[in-house]
Amino acid sequence: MPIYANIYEKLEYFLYEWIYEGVEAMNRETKLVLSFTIPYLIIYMGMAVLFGGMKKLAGTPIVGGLTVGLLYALLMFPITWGFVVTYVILRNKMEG
Amino acid sequence: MFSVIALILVIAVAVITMGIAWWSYRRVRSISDFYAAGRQVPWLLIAWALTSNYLSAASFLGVAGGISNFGLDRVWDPIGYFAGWVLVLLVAAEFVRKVGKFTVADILNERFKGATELRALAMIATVIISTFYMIPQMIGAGSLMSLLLNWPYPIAVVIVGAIVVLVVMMGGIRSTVYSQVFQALVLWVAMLLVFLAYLAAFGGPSSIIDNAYKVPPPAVAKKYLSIDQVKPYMPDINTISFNDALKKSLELAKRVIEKHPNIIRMTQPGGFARDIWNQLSLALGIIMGTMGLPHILIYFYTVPRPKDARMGTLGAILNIGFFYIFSIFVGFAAGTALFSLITGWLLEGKAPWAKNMPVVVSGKMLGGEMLMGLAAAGAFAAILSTVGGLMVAATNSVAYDLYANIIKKGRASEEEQLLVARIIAILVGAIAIGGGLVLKGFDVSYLVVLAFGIAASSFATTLIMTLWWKRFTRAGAFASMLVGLVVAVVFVLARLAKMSSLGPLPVLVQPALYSIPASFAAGIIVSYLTSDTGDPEFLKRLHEE
Repeated sequence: MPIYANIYEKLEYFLYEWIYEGVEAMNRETKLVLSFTIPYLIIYMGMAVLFGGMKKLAGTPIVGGLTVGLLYALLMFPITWGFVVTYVILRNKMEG
Repeated sequence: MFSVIALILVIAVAVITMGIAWWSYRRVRSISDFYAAGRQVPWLLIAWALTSNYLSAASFLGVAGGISNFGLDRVWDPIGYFAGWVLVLLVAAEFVRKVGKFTVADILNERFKGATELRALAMIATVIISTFYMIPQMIGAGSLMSLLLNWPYPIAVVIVGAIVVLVVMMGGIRSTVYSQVFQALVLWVAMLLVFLAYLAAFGGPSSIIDNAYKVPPPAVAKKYLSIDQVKPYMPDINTISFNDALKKSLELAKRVIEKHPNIIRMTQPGGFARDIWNQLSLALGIIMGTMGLPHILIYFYTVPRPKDARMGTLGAILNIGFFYIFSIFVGFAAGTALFSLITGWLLEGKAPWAKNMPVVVSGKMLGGEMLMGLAAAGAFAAILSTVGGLMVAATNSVAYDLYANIIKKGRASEEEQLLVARIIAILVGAIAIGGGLVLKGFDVSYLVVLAFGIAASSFATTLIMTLWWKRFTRAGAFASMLVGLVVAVVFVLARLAKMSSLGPLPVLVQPALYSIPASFAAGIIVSYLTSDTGDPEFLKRLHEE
């Protein structure tokens, strides 16, 4: 886990530095946007990998007719809403 | 399938749409009203307008229809189309509102002042994306209205085209936005009612999923069945009832599974198998493409403040998410209860029925002619709203970017611009109607994939760098847009020509895996080789709180 956290931190820092490049007003805004965009893209592309490359796992039933793939897909909705609602709250707060 | 109630409800949608357009027409007093609804539309209304702008007939009928035919693999479609909105919210919506005026090209010209070549290229991309998106909608409109209401195909295409042209001519984006709010409510409520009816019939969402596991996807099952084996289990759609259809479907599915125990079920992948590269390319194209669609981006100009663009996008994400959840459950429920009917249609060669009719037949089965009529009205509203948004995007771009800015160099009067915009709306409508009539019967749904690919590879990449990267240059913007556009078009043409590879690169279902990195690379390399980074205050102005 610490290894992944470290890689993630470095990736975020790299993107932040590359995009930011000294524009003062972009500072907090960029960091906020990146801290939502990167994890969301990881979760989203994770589903693409599951559906494209791990079909057997995706088709494994968990309970009743609910399979791993379907559960992931259905969870994408609350996860997405959670991301966007939290982002909007923080963004609105940032604006005052 | 003809139903008087369905016809009445479809006509009601058309009449109310025209009424709203007429109401808006009387309030169009300036070019800002026509291009940006006077920037006075409340965010709540924009949330609903964006909802119906985005949810075309492909979403209303195609998402549930696709799942009911192919099972879990097609759940990917609504997830991808939904997730694309997160990037719209995070990196585009409010920032577009902060710097843009009427079209996507305005954003680039706000940073790179007087960059006519960027405006021209953005206009070309807007027209290509809108046209490629619009023609399949027109073909879909003709086919669907023929299926749903027995209208002759050409009549259906002309009626849909004429209604939208009149709406756009009367009030531009103002009348389009307000009529889309109404259309959104119709299609959203229609899907909600079909969903609720299935919940009641099955006894809850878990029962839908559990029963779906007892049934293979019809598109897979048809490989193991003949039409003679299926026919005795096919219900008559004029007298169809839920209990009878479900009983027959489960019996047929049981026979198939007994003979082929390893056959996949509705809630398992494999019905519409994509390999990892195709899946990744599709995922990338959809999530990036949504934020590059001009008919979505220009709606952010209609709200008073950037914060309203943010809130409107949030509202759209909630609406679209709920709509797709309803559609996923309707898809699994229809694939289960109508398993034998859909399998029979596929074996009879009626693939358009199998793909497009499950939602409407579900309406008839669960709520009689009234719910079927509402489903037909929902499909009609979805077609009108998406064609409206696309037509307004193309009209604004040609009238404002090409005529007012490139040809007249910003010296056209407001009256002149309004007149030209209305004439261009007719021309754009004529192209859409002509395309729909000429290409009847062609499977051009792939053009929508192209539209997403081009939007992702031209506008999305260029917008991200314009709005967020200080080192980005005018030449870099031109290079990223042009390279993305060319690579996307080349790979889609290769796909249409059924080529399996281009040199060492396999041709994928979506060009995004090649065209997006190519666009970014071109933008970055050319930016480092050139120096015109545009207005030095642009990013500060854009990002100041």
